[in-house]
Amino acid sequence: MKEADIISTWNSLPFPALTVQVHSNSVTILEGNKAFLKMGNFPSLEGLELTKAGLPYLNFPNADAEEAFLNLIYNSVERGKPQTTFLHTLPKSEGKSINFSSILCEIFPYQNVSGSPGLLLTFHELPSMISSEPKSSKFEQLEKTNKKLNSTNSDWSQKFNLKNNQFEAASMELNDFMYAVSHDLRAPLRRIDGFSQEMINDYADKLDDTGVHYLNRIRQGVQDMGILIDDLLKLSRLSRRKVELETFNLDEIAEEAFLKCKDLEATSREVDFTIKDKIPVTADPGLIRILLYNLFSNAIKYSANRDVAHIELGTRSMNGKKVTYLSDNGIGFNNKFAEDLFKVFHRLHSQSQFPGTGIGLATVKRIIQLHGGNIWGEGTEGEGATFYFNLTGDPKDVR
Amino acid sequence: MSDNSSYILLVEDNPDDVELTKLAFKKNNFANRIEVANDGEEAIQFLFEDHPNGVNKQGAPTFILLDLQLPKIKGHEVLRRIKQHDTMKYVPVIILTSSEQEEDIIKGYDYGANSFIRKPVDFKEFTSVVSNLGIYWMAVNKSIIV
Repeated sequence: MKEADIISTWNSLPFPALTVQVHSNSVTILEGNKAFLKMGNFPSLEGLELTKAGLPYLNFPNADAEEAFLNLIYNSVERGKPQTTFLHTLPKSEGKSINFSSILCEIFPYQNVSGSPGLLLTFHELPSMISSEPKSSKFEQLEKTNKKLNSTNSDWSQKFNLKNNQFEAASMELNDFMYAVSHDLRAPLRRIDGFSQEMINDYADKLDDTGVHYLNRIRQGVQDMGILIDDLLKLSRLSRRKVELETFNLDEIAEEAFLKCKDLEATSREVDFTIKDKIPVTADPGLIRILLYNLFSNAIKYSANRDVAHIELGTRSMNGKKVTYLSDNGIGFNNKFAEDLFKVFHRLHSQSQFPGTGIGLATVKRIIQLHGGNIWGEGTEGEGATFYFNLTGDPKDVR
Repeated sequence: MSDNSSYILLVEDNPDDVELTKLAFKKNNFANRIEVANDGEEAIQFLFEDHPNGVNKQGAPTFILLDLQLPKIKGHEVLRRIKQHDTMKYVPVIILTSSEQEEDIIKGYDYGANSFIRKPVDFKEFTSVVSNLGIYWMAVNKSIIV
């Protein structure tokens, strides 16, 4: 096909499509077809980015949804396999553009002419009236996979029981139970927030300042608990996730995770990060990112009182085994609490000193356990903390 | 935005959630009447059978807000029946739920839901979601009048 033919085919595709180039920290748009420009009412591709700011019509309902979408984009390059996702968007009617409430997005990795990895994205508005097949094959497939997973799970749990010295009561403590509870907990919260908000709106003049203050405290408590529940949901989702192993250098994605974390946690402070060793691992890169992100976020948070925070990542030989460590010069902790650190909701500091939900290190431990490894912490009060971990072991043996 | 005969059907079992949803519509100055079905079974009666305020008495709603966790008959089943019905399938169904479980979302769309919205904890956010919803489905979207 001639180039002109290809361009004309591209532009006559009935659905929006675009090609993007993925860099370590950003995604640039290379080409978008006519349907794409029409979808967002864009005059041209100039200045568009694959984010909420750049694609306002996607109208991600929250930052998590946007992040999940971008993570999927980054993962697609790494995995090299096509992926599908739903973009759940809120109906939007600002300006001229009226946009859909949901879009099916397909992501196809490809090599562009220069050999660098690119992605082809297609968007399909979900048809508003589907009635032909009440139970689509997709759903049946999902059910089948679920059943298969359940039976495999029970095989594994038998193995698990045989080996239970090796693993603490790890993978059972949350999961399905927690998932259900988390949903049921959100509903009453919504009601408390709704009625307190209405009190403030309509009855503020009948209350004195203290009364309004109390209502605001109630609402803040509710919001905090909402965040807590959402964090719990994330943790429980983690446990259900399939571990996909790849061989890569942990230090390389650590650099990336650190920068992202620093941007969010410590915008103005000086944080010095040193990588001492190359750390080749076989692990699930997506999970390792979450793990590192949580460890960095703690290291940065708990070193807030230092003029210059020092964080170091490297490897050390302990009892003949190589372990990875991450150390900081933060406020540290008393070693008698070292075990408690990894428990869900367990915190060593007050909210006013260091805010948090007590789920970060529980998440870290869960990820390590999914890999069949081990993690522990050592601290000195006022001087700093070091976390040691290894990822050895076959993840199949864990679940 | 509405004439006297147009109304919204809210399928929701919790009376507090009913009150808050009505409040959110009122805050956005949507004058539409809201009819409530308190569980899945009542929704089916309202839509397809004999019901004091049902479709048999006053015609089909402009759109349906459907919770998923419902007593007696679950939301997904109500949705399936609506979308299998010859005329009722044209009424937009918006799932409004606490869940964002992927299985729930996929099943919702597979059964023909027109939209899937997770209720936010923050009532201010919820009010703005309701505003978007109302504008979109009542004023912007072109539906088939059943």
